[in-house]
Amino acid sequence: MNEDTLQQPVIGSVLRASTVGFVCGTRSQEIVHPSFGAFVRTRHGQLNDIDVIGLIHAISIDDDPLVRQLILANNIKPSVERDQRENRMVPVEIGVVNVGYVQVGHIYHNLPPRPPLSLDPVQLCDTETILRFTERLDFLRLVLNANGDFPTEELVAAALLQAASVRPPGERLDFLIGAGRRLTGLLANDLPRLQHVLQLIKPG
Amino acid sequence: MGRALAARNLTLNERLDAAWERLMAQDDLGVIHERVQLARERDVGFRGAAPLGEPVNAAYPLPPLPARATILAADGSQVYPSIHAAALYYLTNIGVFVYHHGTDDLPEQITEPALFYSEKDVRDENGQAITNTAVNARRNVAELQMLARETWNRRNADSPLLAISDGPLLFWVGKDVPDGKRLEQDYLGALVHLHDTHASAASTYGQSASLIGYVDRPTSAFVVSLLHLLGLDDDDVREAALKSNGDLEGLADQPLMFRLLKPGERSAVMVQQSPQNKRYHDKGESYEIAFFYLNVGQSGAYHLARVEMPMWVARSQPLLDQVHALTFDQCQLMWRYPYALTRADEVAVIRAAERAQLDDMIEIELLRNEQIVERSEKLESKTVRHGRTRYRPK
Repeated sequence: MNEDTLQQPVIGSVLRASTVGFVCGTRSQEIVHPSFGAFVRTRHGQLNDIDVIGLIHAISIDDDPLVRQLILANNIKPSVERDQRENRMVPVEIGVVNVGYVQVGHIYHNLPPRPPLSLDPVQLCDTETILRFTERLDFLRLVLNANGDFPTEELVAAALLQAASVRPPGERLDFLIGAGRRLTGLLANDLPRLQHVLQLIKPG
Repeated sequence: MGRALAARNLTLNERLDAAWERLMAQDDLGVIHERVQLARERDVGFRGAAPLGEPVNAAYPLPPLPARATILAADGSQVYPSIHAAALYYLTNIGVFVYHHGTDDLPEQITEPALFYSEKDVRDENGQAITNTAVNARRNVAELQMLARETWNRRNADSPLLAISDGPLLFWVGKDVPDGKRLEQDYLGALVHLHDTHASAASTYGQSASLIGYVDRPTSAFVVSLLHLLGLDDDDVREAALKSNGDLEGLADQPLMFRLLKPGERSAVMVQQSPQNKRYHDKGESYEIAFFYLNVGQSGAYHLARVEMPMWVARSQPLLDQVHALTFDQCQLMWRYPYALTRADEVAVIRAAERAQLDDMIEIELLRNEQIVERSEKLESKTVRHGRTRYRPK
């Protein structure tokens, strides 16, 4: 793990996991960094040697009776807002779909052989990891075929746009054109989906 | 059931009309005080309210809100001792929440858990496990002590202090509480500590410290009892006549106050007549407990609270106004209940899962110390029936 990876903000800890995805829990004031389609990786502990790489497909805030009452009262003061966000353990969940893993420094574009463990920290991927991981676009197939309850085309588009944005400006268009070609192959039998996702990644 | 409830409401409405008429006729505070004094002298067990110095048939409007204040609220929860558990113990957890009214400062939350397992803590003088009532009493005292300590620690604040306790301020223990006398003394000691805080804040910093006990949706009938007393002839002021509220029996103060108070308004300040309150008075005039009713509802909606306070607050108009305005404001944050108390409760609560975790930790420690862990068959059978499994270290 390089220095950049270590300095990336921890956005939460693994709450529950499987080989196809995981959910990490966080406190509400810590949801500034993660966004839909962002690349994240778990940081393995002593019992595991695998860092799972995934894409954020959902950020949800659980129902909370106290918050309901505050909304009903319609009189939320800044100190109350700070109390709710900084003091209370408001359960925020970040859903992640697995797209690859890192084992002994090697990146694999496949589902991890084992899920991350509960409480493993979850970080945003640094630029170098995103660049290395998206040199190959095998993860697109995994996402497009995922059975999760999330919009796969939008997730693919968000991930590709993020991958393009970490590249030098002169390489971004070529990267997106290459991704479009790959998507054309994967969605050749589903033209409406293909058209939609190409529209989403179209530059400018 | 519907017909029966409707019939009961009809008679209650008739009693309410009668009580309202009687309340509106009480224009002379002197007459009321004379009648209460007569009941006291005859020692006839009058447990109603006596007005302090304000007409009882008037509503008092919401005063301006202080620009700043520090509001502290305390609440507690407990794990009761169980003879079916692996070890006899009990746990209390006290939470204090500090809200900085008028600033954007982050509120503070403080918790203080305490585990009790020594023989003197968990058994009475006959060797019997102490009752849940005893644990409640000890927790109540610990709540007020912690509230007093945290208020004292903030006496140099540049704004008034308001300490909020959950429930009535009059502390009373039953005979099944082994150290009842000491607990009562400790409770009064905490009251004195809060009063000292007020004195120190006032003399050194020009500020104040108030205490209230917040009672949500009170079922008390102190005003109704007073109206019953006032409806009697002098000769009828006898114990037998005061055992009930006569033709007003069954009526609580709540519907009467709903007629009297619009949202934000409070009733007159009154003092409940009781032997416990007399003991507080005997400790010092500042410690007798007074109260007012407050309609904490919003725009036309009614929700009643009884706000209790010691006499050093009740006798000071500025403190009374602060308490009135700040309590109402707290309730508006949280839809009819003080925000600080809600959060203190949340900070203090011990959930079932946490209790199970504690039980496991205690069993592990017992095993580490080569103790035989025996849980009662009753508890084991419950665990099996409810499908719960427990991890047991080898």
